[in-house]
Amino acid sequence: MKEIDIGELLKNKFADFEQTPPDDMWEKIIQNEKVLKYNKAHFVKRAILYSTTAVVVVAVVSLLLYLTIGIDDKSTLVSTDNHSSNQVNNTESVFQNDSNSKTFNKETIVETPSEPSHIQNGVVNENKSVPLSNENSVKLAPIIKSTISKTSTQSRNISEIVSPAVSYSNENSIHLDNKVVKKDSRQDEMVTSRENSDNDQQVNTNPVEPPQSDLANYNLFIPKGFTPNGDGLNDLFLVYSSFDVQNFEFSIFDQSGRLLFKSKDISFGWDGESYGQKMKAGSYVYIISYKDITGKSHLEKGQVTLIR
Amino acid sequence: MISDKDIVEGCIAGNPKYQKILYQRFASQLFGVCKRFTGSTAEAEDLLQDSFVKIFLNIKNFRNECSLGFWVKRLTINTLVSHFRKKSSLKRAFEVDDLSEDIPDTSLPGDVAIPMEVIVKMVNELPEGYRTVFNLKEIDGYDYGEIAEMLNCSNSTVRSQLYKAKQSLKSKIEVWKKNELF
Repeated sequence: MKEIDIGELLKNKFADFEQTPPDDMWEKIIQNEKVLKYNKAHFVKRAILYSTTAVVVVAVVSLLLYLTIGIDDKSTLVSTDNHSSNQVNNTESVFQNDSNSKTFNKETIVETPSEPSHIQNGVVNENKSVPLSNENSVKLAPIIKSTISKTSTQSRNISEIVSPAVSYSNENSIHLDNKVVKKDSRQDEMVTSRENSDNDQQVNTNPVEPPQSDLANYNLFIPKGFTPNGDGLNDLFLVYSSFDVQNFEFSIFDQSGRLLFKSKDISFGWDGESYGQKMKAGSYVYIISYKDITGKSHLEKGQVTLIR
Repeated sequence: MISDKDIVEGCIAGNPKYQKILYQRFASQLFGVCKRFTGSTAEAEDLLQDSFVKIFLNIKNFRNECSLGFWVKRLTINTLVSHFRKKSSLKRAFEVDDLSEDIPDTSLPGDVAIPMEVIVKMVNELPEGYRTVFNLKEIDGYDYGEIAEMLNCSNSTVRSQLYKAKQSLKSKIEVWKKNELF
């Protein structure tokens, strides 16, 4: 008979020896003072670490976002393409809304006499809220007509052909478009607020804000100032365009009418130097001429401030 | 299946969820180890608990040099050994017993079929010194030098303890066999 060493015998026996510990074992371990202390120290610490990191990240991101939006207003026009094409849609719907709201106003005025008990409220409400909208609609009426006829038909056709652009036609009309949008969204707000509560006061007291971002509406953006100090921010006086300009010409003059700088390339801006000298801080006159995508010629004049 | 890496990271972070996963994965195996190193179930349970506490507190030292299973087992064995060293009876036993001249015959017929619980009981009944050395050498595969270092005794002491353990086990098995026959 083959003999086997007892060590080997038991080694084989014990090789996969497993035994299920009692059920309460886990509870005992996890409730152990040292384990609890360790988990508290590490798990809580980590949770705090993660939450603080998250807060810091959010803060940094929002700060960056805030800063970039601030710079965006001046420097980028590319991103506004979508924005401006949206605006075209807005203006379309706006016109509809506007006519709706006008009829709405009329209706309410017509309705109020029939119900004496509501006259006061109705009239008061109308008086409170309508003036602005009436003014608007009065002011807007001719504008709307002109813009509808000019831009919406014309520029819509264009925008269908070339997507990233709004209104190449007339700068004035674009500007007015924007006002229409602003005022009208305000009107919408009023209509809803009238339904909800009497927030009309608040709405009325707010002056009609000028358009926040001209960038979105002008297809050519000309900064009002620049700082040629070499910090990488606004060092050049550059004109930005959301479309391809043709026959672009860009001249800078000083107050006495001396030509300081001339460029035919839109990406070539003025660095504040002329005749080998750094120009002093102050106002300079620019003249920009270009043809837009429809072939229409434009001439822009204005002043730019050199800040040192 | 959650990977060992995730478990280790979760345990380092002190996350009870991962600690429980680690426990569930290794508890039976480690309880088996504790059972054969100790004299009673109660003692084995205490030591298993101690082992897991040590595992959770020291898992940050796990360096992926070996498998997680090997690491937890080694840590458990260290816990068991240091427990016996604390009990100190071991050392005294070693001083008294020294290597005897003749090496005893510790072989058995190869056809022995002993139930597992009987074997565990036999091992449990061994004196602590014998049991520890026997476990470390024969089952866990440590060499004499390592065991001597772990138990803080001489190489020859380990040898003598081992032979005595084997001899004791052999006689126990023979007794058991005789009882089985009748």
